[in-house]
This record gives sequence, C-alpha cells and structure tokens, in this order.
Amino acid sequence: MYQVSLKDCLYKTAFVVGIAIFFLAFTLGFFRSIILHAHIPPVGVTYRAGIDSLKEQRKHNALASQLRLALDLDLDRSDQFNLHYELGMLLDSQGKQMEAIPHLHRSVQLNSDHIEALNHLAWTLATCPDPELHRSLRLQAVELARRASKRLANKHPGVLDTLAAAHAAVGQYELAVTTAESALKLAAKQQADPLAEEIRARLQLYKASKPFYREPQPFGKDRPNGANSNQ
Amino acid sequence: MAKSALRNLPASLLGQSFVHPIFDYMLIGGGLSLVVGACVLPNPGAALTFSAASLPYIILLSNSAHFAASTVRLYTKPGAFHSLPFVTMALPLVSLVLLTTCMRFAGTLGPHLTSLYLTWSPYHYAAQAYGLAVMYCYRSGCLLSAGNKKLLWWMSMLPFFYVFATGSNVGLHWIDMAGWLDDRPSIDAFLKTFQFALPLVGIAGTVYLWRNISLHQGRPMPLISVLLLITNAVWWFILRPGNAFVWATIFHGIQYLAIVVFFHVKDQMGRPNQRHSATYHVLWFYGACVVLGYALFNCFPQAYVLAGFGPVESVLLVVAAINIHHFFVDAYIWRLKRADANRAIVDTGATAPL
Repeated sequence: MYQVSLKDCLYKTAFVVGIAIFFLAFTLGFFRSIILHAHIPPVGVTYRAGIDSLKEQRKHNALASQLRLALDLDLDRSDQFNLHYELGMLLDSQGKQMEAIPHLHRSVQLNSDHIEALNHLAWTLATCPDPELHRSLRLQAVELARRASKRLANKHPGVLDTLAAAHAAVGQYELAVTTAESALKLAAKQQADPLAEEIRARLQLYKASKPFYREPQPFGKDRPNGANSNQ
Repeated sequence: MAKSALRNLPASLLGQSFVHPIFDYMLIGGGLSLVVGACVLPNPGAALTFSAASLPYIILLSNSAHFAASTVRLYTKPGAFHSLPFVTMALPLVSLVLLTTCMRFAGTLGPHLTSLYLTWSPYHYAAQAYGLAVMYCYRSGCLLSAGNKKLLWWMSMLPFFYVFATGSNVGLHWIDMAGWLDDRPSIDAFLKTFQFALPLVGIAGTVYLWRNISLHQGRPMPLISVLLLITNAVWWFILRPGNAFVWATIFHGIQYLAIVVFFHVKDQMGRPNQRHSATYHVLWFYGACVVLGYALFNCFPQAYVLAGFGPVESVLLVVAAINIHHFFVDAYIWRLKRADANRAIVDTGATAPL
C-alpha cells in the first residue's frame, strides 16, 4: 500500500504554499514596479523612489524612520552621505536641531567638499535656539561658514548670511554687521529680493547686539537664506 | 623523457579547460575582472566605467542572474527533490517566514541580517575560489595531497579572514556589539598589523603552495587555479570595501554563471530522450536566471511595499535574504555524490564534455 509520511506531506504543503506566495508576490510586485518606474523593464534595486515618494507626500515621521533605518542597513558610503544629510535637514526643519546636528556633522565628515552640507551645518549651529548648545559648536559654525564662503569666493549672499549669523551667535556683532551688509549688497545685486529682506531683518538684530535664532521651516522648502539655491 | 616532460609542461600548466582556455581564464578564472580593473581603476572617469544608467542592467545580467542561478540549478538538477527535500520544498517558505519576521522587526533584526550576509559573502566567494581551484587541479590531473589541499583552503580563505577581522559592521566588528574592540588600542594595532601582513602571507603562501605541488605531486598546479586565488585576493585586499563588494559580486556572478551553466548543460544533455542542442540549454538556463533574478530583486521588494512595509527594509532586507538563501542553497547543490553525472567533470583527467 502506498504510504505518505508526515514529513513528506509537510514538505509538499510548504512547497505549494511557498511557491504560491512567491508567484503572487512576483505578479503584484511586477505591476507595482511598472507603475512606479513608468517604463519597461523597470530595473534597479533601490529604495530611493520610495523615500522620494514619502517626501512628496510630506509623511515626515515615516520619512525620518525610513532614513534612520537606511542608515543602519545601507552600508554604501555615498548613500550614507545623502542619508545623513537628508535626515539632518528633515530633523532641522522639524525644529529638532539637537538631533539634526550629529547627522549634518556626519554628512560633512563624509563629504567635506559639499558646500551645501557645510553651509547647512553652519546655519544650524549658528541659529539653533537651544541654549544647551555648547559655545564651541557655535564657534565651529564660524569656521564652517567661512570655509563654505571662501569656496564660493565670498560671492554667495546666502552663505555670507550664514557667516554673519555665526559671528552673531558667538557675540562678534561688528563682524556680523559688516558680513551681513556684504551679503545684503550681493543679494540686491542678484535681485534676490526675499533673501535681501530676510538679511535686512537680521541685520537690525546684529546692530542691536542680538543673535538670530530661527523658527523651524517646512522640510523641502529652500533654506531661509537661500544658501542651497546655487548648489 | 625529459624532453617529453618539457613539451607537456605548458599544457599541464594551462590546465584542462571547460570550454576554451581564453573563456576559462577570463570568465571562470576571473581574469576579466583584472583586465577591467586595470583599465578602470587608474582612471575612474574613463569610458569603461559603468554609468549610472547602465549599472542596473549590468547588475541584472550578472549579479541578479547569478543569485537566481543557484535556485534554477536546484530545481533543474536531476533528482534534487528526492535528495534535497528540505532545501527544495521547505526552504522557500522558511526563508519567507524568516524574512518577514526580520522585516517586521527591521530596526532590531535588520542590521543583523545585513551583517550576516556581508560577513558570509567573502566566505562564499573564498569557498568558490577554493572549490574551482581544486576542480581545475583534479581535471588537469594534478592530484592534491591532504596537506596541500589544506594549504590551498587556507590560502583561499585569507581574503575572508581579512574582511572578517577588519571590515566595519561585519565579522568581528559585528559580533562585538558592545564596541569592546574600539576601546582597545592594542587590539586596533594588532588588527592593523594583521591587515598589512595578510596579503603578504597570501603571496608567500601561494608561491610556496605552487612550488610544493610542482615538486611533490608530479604535475604542477594549473595556473587557472592560481588565478582564481589571485582574483579573489585582489577583490578584497586591494579594492576599498565598498568597491570590493560591487566588483566581487559582479565578477563572481559571471564566474558562477559560466560554471553553473556548464553543469546544467552536462545534466540536460545526459537526459534520456533529450532533443535540444547545448546552445538551447545554455540560453534556456541563462534566460531563466535573468527572469528569476529580475523577479527576486525588482518585483519581490515591491510586493513587500504593497504589503505595507517601508521601502528601505523592503529593498535592503530582501537583498540580504536572497544572498543568504543563495549561500545556503549553494552549500548543497555543489556536493557531488559518487553517482552524480557531473562527478566526471572534476575527476582526474576527465575530458571536456562540451
């Protein structure tokens, strides 16, 4: 008499269930892949499209947790820079500067030639409203902003605005005023009116010997001083 | 007699090829990676550098297809369901359950799954280099003594030890979750010395091995066996870790596909009543690998996203799981039992069947 052992039966059941799930997954995944990439064959193993989609949908908490997870799982060095930078900017925009700073700092360590990252870190260190932020970090903001501005031959109003804010953050108000005036002239020359307006407002603060601490900005919007617009 | 031995020397050095010496040395031996590396690495902006647009297709045709190849090979290997019931029938569902569990707890389990696959990868490549080196020795009539075989294994494994000891987030640094190693300057100094010394040990050991075999085994170790050790060593010793993983996977994939296709064709041509040509079987096998590779790496992660998981874990953990599944399946499908038709391929003095 033909006998089927329990082990055989379990193996065969597992096989049928496993294969059925795989075929279903492949079919559904194939159609989603076509919709997502909008061309055939949609080749490319990347989570970038998913991250961008979360960004577009403004699901900031989900985006932050996905970026954090990617930092743990994706060990590619070039991606690490982008991930730290994006997470830093996202946290910064949510008003979580103290959490953003380590990520922005790491992005600068990974790519010290990235002027936008240099400037963003300097801006965050200079304008973070948290009184707990150590003075040495505010001093570092001056150094970083100076380095970024020098790379652009001191011709970028946004980066000069960052440098002015950094000077003010460490109490160097005279330097802050002269730097902000240079930034204002350049902004006016480049007809960057909204930026010029912002610099003018900050200039008043520096003249009154007050630093500029900013409010959180919506993620994805250009930096208040427009420093990333030319990168 | 001495004259005859001298005349035979080049052939014994060249080894017994599967297809043609150029094909074997370039694709299976990994010579192509050295040629491409020599062209690309000194000048990263050169035309041979893979562009961002072409890289996904190169990866699909080599890397993804190679990962799928072990599965295609498993299910087309004669008698596999009978001889490997767990691997053929239960493993897919077990893998699926384990992967989904890791996805569910991606923050906790995900990094370990990733580190496991990155630690296992260099071992897998080293083991393949060893297996192929031994296979070419046997095919070429170079019988290895137990001592030489052991030494060949150690030489093959050096790149794995190198990555295991020095790679970040893999091997030692993965096991050392508490960061104990980072706070010990003496250990750091030791690892740096180890990192410096290991390639030198590899060169000296390989030269010693080759000389020892030539002197005591009657025939020299074929140069393709040496090339296999060299290419694997170059991938891990010379390239930066990030590049090493990309290069090793692409060229290991080509190497793997070349050899697995050969075994598949041998099996299919040996089937009773088979009516197709070898070319048909080659194209069928490779086509199946590309389609399955595409389904696994491109469609499968999308299915997880549809099921509600995040894009990051859906892509990265699926990649890690496919790698581990491949390593696991590979550990079984290359075991050639006495009755296996492919046993002739590795046996001494076997002629190339194609």
